[in-house]
Amino acid sequence: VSESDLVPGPIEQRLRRTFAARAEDMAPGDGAAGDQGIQLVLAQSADRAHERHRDHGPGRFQLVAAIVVIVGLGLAAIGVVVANDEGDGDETGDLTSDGSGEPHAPDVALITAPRDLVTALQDERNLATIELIGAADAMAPAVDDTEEARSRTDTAATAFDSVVAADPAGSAYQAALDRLDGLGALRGDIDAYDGPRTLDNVDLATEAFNRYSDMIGGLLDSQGEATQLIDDPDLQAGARMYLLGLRQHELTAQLGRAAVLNAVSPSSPTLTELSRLYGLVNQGHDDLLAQATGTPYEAPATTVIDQIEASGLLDTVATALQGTTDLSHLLAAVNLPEDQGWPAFLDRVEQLLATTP
Amino acid sequence: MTDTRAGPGAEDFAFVYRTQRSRLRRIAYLMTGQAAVAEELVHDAFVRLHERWEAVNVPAAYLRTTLVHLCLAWRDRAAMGRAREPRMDESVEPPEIDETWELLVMLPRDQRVALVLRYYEDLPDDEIARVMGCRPATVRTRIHRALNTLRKEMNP
Repeated sequence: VSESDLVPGPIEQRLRRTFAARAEDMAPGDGAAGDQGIQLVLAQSADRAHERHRDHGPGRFQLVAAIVVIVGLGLAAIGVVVANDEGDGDETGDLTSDGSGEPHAPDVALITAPRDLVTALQDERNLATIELIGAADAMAPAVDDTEEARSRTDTAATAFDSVVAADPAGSAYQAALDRLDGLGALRGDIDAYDGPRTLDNVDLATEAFNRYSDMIGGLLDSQGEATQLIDDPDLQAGARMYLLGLRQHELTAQLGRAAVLNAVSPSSPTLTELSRLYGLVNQGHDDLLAQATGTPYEAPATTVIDQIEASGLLDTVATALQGTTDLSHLLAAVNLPEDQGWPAFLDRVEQLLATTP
Repeated sequence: MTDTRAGPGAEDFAFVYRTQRSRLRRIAYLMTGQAAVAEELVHDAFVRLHERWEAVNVPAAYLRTTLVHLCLAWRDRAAMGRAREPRMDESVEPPEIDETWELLVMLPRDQRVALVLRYYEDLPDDEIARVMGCRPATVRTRIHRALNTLRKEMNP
């Protein structure tokens, strides 16, 4: 990218004049304007809803709402604090992978490879951080034994390494691998702590959250790099959906954790963080829906957003931002059944990716 | 239709339609080069917004991103079926405008969309990247390549 692209020159001025002139071809009064156009939109929307009803049976949304159940304090996401939001990684990074100067299109396996490791890191992070505040018994994390959690992470990391090493485009993950090198030191710091494990220890727990989250963020950033290497537009659309799904899963987990933290220990910083994450999650939902438009991923995207909406998480957070938190509703909302939510969305995207020609 | 969103930014669907439609028609036209196609895609974007009204948080942003992806998908279909290759409508513009407009047709779809978002919508690169679903570096690369192509082809 040259400096001349950043400084308006004759070409850029011509483009602006051309766009401005040709945009005027679309006179405001043309086409289906006003109430007539709105009625056409409503009619087609109703037709499409009828089609979906016929294809999928009645009341999917209502059924989803009905089977969202309270599962107590099994808050898998409790240990999350945001360190990375939607970073794009190294924007000037070399996308070639073998020094040849030619970018390699990655295999789909390279796009889906980080998922198991991200999940294992999330579980390890959650257990470690709630143990630091002495809440492991109350929170019932997905994995309740430190040795087991770390073993799962190590197994996932080994599998991830082998996929990355086997793909010429695997160097897209180098930055993420570098960050993962810090895992041993992080575990050592957690193990070295021998002070009281109470809510007063939240600062140390937060530091651990951040260090785990930084590794997870690195994986997602690198996955974005790998996605950009895909030439095939259909595969790239799927890979983008996969990336957005993983990001939303992480952000939603962070939102749930921030909401609980704000409920048990409200302060100006916790409220600010909750507000920030609420905005990011909502924006991510809009992006996912919009970018799925016209692709095979449109239906899964709509389904997962419906499920998240039906869970009541966002409504509960919106209420919390007004100063009132219903903790039982919040804890229920972050626990979707296993066949719903982001994991189910990612499963579906993986299926579609596998069948993309 | 009644909006269930709370807060000062609350809008109902009809209001969004009336305030956003003209802008979207222009964007779609600049991206596709055909007025009829632009009308169709804008209509489709509003249908999708209506279907997801309860889930969408910022209707204007959702509409723009949806429209961009509809335009990209339409151009994909056009590329597969040569009979639907974009064709510019007749115009009576200064030669400079017509020449630039015709050259824009030859650009790859993602480059043309990026140019419209930067030089018509005046979006920053990170926002273009979010709308198009790519990295800001990719946006800059697409624009750089598009400008290089135009520089080579344009009469001074």
